[in-house]
Amino acid sequence: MTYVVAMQQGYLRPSNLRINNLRLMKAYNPAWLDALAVRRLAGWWRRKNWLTEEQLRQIEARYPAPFFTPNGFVRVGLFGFTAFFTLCATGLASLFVHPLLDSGGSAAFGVLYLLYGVGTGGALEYFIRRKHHYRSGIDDALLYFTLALGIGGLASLFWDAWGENVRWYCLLALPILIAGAIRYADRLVTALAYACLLTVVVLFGIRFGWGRWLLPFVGMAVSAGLYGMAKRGGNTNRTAPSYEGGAGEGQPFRYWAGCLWTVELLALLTFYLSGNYFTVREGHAALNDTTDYRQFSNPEIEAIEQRREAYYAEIGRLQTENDGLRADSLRGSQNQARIDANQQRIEANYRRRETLLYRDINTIRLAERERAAANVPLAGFFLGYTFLVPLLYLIAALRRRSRPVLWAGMLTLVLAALTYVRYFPPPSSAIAATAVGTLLIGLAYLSIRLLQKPAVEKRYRLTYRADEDDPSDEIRNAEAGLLAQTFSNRLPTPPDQGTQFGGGDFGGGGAGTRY
Amino acid sequence: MPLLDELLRRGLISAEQHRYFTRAAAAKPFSLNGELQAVLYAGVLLLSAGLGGLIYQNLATIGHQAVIGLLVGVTFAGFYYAYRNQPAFSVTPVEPRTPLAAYALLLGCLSFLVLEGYLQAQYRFFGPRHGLAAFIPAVLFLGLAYYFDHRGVLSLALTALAAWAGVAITPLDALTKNDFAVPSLLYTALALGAGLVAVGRYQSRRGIKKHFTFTYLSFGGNLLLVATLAGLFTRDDQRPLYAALLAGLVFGFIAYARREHSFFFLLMAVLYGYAGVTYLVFRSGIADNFYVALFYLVLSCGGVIYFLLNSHKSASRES
Repeated sequence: MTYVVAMQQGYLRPSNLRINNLRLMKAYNPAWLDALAVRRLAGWWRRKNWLTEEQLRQIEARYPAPFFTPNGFVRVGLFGFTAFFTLCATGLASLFVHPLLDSGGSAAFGVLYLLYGVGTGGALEYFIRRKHHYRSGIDDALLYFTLALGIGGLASLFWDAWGENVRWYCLLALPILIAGAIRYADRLVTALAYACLLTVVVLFGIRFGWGRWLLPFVGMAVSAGLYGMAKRGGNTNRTAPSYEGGAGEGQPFRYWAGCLWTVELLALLTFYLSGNYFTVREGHAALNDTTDYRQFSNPEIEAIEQRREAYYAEIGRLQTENDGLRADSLRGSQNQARIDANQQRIEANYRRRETLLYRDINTIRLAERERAAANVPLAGFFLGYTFLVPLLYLIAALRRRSRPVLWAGMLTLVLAALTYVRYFPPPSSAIAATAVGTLLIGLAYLSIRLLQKPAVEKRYRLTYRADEDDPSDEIRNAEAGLLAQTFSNRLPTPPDQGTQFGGGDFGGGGAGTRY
Repeated sequence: MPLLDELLRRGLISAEQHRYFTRAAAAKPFSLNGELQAVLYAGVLLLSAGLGGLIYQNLATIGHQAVIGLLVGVTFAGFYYAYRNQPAFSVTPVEPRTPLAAYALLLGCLSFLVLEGYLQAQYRFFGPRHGLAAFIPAVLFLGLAYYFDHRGVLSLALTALAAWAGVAITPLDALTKNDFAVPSLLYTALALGAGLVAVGRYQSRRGIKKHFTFTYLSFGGNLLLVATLAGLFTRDDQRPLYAALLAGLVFGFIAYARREHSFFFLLMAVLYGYAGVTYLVFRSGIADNFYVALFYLVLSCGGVIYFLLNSHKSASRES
């Protein structure tokens, strides 16, 4: 906490912190990133007409940020074509060395992947350092390829030793992902590192008897710990609201503001999921599956197995009898009738063995599993947790004005509703949807009316007004497209305009005749 | 705040501005705009889906008249609320007086579709004239979209219009659900796409609802390009014709994208153009060898990347 105080008193310039002087930790020029935040802020002031054009120009001259960051659509295109380029280039290279690969086994693949990874990593650094790319699509694609090739290459090297033990590969990937997330401050890599960390915790946790029982609480503890770390590092709440989504102005870890934001949101979500009734109940059943074939001890299933043996014996007996009858050619027609009858009985026995018995075993196993699931300890606690935590999140979000907490609250509320529907299905889903829809509209309506009162806005510092002066045009256009996509199936069926099945070279035959 | 102090020390802002910005930053409220809109949207979706299910599940208990009454009630309530809160018509963007009005209009439109589907399913209201069932919402929604200045309703109207013509137009369905091996469908799609693009261009030239241009051009352009590509793939006898058409469209959209800085169209043109060129290359038999094929893909991808990098640079210099 001392650095916060020091920051506020202005003693501690961010550039004096040791962490900023380590070249290896930051791929993108941190000074330019700071300048980017300043320019964004100055642009906002200018739009509000709080700055003169002259001042804006002066600020932009004093804070240069010559990054190459293209428009979002160009970024998508660059990302896709860079990824495709890398795939084809590595594929082409592999064609030339494939005689070597055939003899070398998985280790040879590992070495090759690592070499490719060095290549993409070098290209990544080239584009960032020399071409000043920042979130251009090219650096994103190369970063993901480098990490995937690095992790895949190392995993191939260890394939012979580890086999299919996923937990070791996760343990291997974790430091690589964390290093990637730190150096390139990428949100997706951060999320992957987070998921990897939790997978490691779970996979190692379930190897111990007590770990299985404590898993929900271990999950909560790890999430809470990571949330605390992200919060201390990011300080997203203490930052002035106007820098929200910006670079976390003045904070020592502002280079990673986006990563910390991501961890904050994910930690809140996994904290909830650790104690959600659905995950705990079904996870408990899956981990304590008493009907697992390896620990087979169910008398009902054993009885069925015995019946199956009896069917086998019966089939064998009938087949021997038929063989005898066929060999006895003297009473041809008389024997044929018995042979046919026997054959039918054989087939019936086969059917019973294949269908009925397996179905019976499956039913018993599901019932057993359901019994295990229903016996989940502390069911009442987890049920309460499922419905209380989202509400607590929402209250906290409004009190502390925190975006990640708000989103976590909304998402977990949806999960809570889905959990409720799963275990307490409403008599009519249509009535439930109508009621919930009406409730949501009413709730939003009341909230908007309330927030539009100046007194409320002033007192709680919450507003309905959009953050920017006007929501961006691109978002509205995307909304319109999404809407049409969602409802195209609601439109009345058009006439069959001579469209007939068959003869479709494009899109696979008759797939296009239904609109 | 250190940043503001720094700006003040460097003489980039005045002391008065420093005070003002500090106060403004501290007093700036937390916006719930996006989140509340998401809740409204989810509510409208759930309500219209629920109503759709409700009428079919409970026909026996509530009866036809009650169902129709309920749907007509919801539809008119939605339209009426939107109408009451709508300022006078203008060719420029118009904001409704309350943020809820746009969602009320959407609810009205969606429940109108439920009502129409119900009438058709129960009473064969339009008889065998299915075309009418798609034409009515197309015309109604088009009018509503202009009067209420609602892009979402406009996209619904265009989807209905295309459905009336027998074409699937929404971005994903245009690719997957049209069987362009049927010549009439291909020509319909080409004509409809060209028509929508023409309307969009005409409107933006005349300054009528300029912000609708994107919807017209993206729906129409996507359909036009998909259909041209399909013609290229399926009409071997007319391949040069479709190749020329594709080239013209791609260049047209790239020029438009550069002029208007609307990079969506740049991406769209590049993707369809690349697909067409690659098809022609593989079709010509030059790249029959696997090595040559991969080599072509590597080179062409590099070329596209180079083009995208430079097109963006030149476009941003212009601005």
